[in-house]
Amino acid sequence: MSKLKYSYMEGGSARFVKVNHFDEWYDKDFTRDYYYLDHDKKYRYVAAAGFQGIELFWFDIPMIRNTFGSFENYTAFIQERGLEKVTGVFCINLGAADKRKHEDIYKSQQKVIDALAALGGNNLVIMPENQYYGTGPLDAEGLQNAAECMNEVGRRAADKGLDVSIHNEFWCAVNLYDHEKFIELTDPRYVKYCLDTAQLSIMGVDVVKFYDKWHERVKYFHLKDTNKMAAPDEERFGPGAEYDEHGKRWFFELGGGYVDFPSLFRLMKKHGHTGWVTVEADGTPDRLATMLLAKNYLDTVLEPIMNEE
Amino acid sequence: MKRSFCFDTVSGTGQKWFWDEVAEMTGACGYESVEIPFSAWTFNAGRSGAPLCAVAIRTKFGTVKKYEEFLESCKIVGGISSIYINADNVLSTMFEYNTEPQHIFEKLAELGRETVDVLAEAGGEAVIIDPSPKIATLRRVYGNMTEKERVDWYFEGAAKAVNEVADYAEGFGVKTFVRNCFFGYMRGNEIEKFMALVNDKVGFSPDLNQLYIAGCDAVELIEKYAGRVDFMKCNDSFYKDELHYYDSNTPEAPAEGDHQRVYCDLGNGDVDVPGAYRAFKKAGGNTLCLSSKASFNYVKAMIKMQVYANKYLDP
Repeated sequence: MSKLKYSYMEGGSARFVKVNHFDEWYDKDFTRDYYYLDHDKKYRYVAAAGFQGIELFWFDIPMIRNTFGSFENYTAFIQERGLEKVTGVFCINLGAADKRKHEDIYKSQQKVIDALAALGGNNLVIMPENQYYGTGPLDAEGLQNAAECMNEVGRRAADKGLDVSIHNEFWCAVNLYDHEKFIELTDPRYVKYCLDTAQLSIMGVDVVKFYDKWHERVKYFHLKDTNKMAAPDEERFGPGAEYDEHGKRWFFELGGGYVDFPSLFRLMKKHGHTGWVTVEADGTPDRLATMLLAKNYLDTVLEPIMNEE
Repeated sequence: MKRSFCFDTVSGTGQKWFWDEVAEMTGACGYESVEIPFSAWTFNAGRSGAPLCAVAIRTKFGTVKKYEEFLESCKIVGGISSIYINADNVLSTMFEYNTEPQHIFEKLAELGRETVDVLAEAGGEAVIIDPSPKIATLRRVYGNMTEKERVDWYFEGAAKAVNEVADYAEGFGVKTFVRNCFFGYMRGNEIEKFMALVNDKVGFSPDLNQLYIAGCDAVELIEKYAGRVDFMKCNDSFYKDELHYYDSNTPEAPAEGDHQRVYCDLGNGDVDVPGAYRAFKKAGGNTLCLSSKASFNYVKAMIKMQVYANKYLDP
């Protein structure tokens, strides 16, 4: 029996609740788009691949209200399609290095916290500041402010029984040279850590060593692969770095790059990590292929490690 | 008659190389200019390589002028001819960033001025404004009024905002037009009430599939505003809004019924585009904005729309 449960996260382009007639979308176009237009099929695919939960983005919240009418309707909808629950929401403390913006951030994040609680989720995963370009590097005061902001959002989330986790992008204003300092500045009672395997690898961090050092803070994982280990500063710090100028693909399905997932899973087993883990599909040109390959890699390579006697 | 390619035909990644290639193909297909559907700044739009908001263009190209030069190097001789903004995007962005909803008109005018600045730098011709968010959103957000009070208040405030933009635009030699979606307060012939509230500097930009879905006779409307019409959006639809989804939360993605597909590629629907084109020409229109909103195959659509225009509009 696995100690882990897998959630899936991808933006996708579903706009309809359920598309009813194939012909309306196929005749004269002759494309496969019918299969990717609605939430109905999107969640069926995720459940069919063997994932049990889904993680959302902050901008999904108004979409859910608009499209489904209520969080309860949405939860029932995904459960009818074989998923257990929404596990978390990803969001950003935009402008957190500037104390004057904190009240606005709290107001904004409170809405996300309330929505996540209503959805029955647990993990609020937060990017600590804006992109590096135009914002970084943060000075000591800015880093401290961003940490205080994260602590306060963490306190507010804890009031609703939710965990807040730091999520460190390779293109974030908090970056290779201060990301561990940032963890130290946050309050472990309220702020955990979500280890994103590809983002940290691209930043130039050995994720296995990092996890060994910080495992007591690491409450959550975003699993994805990359073949761009330790990208140079100029690539990470450029404008809109995650949208690469030349179309470079940063992220791959598990097993598609160089992240040492087997060693990471051995450590997760050693440190007794249990619970939800999110698998991501950022930037894939083929959503279904990436989702299925990732799940197969979990089933055939990583789960056996977790289940070794 | 000039032909402009509307970037709302394209859905793809936010990577600059993708959009650069779109521009190169647009030029190769013989379009003389582009229309860009702009959005207000958001975190994701601003850092993206898609040239769909002012910050993104300036971030990725340095200046708007450099982007314009890039378009011209792609043989798009007129570069950016028009930029389209809409109040629905303004209001949803306000929700995302916790701006109080009473600031809707200020924010619409603000995005309008920001867009005019981009056009001025690019040497573009027109800012096109769809002044109404979704009817359902307006009813929900501004629920403390009767429907009549809300409509009157909204028409008046939006007209003031559009007039402000038009005054500002005039100073840069940029023209201002309004367009009306089928799911806003100015849908179909309701636009006539709005046109009566805006000043003479504001023209009308017919959006053919939106008028068709709203059950409005586009030819009549074009004739009515002869001398004030330009930048006609040529697009298509075979959608019948039989369940009256126009005032629902999801007018463009109806949840029920046999008819859910609201937009289709130009030439695949039932809109009388040639009829509207004849009226548009007669009314003094100069630029056609060819569009197949969110096409499943934007490269094919880009070519096919030129084929359509060659066969049925200017044979």
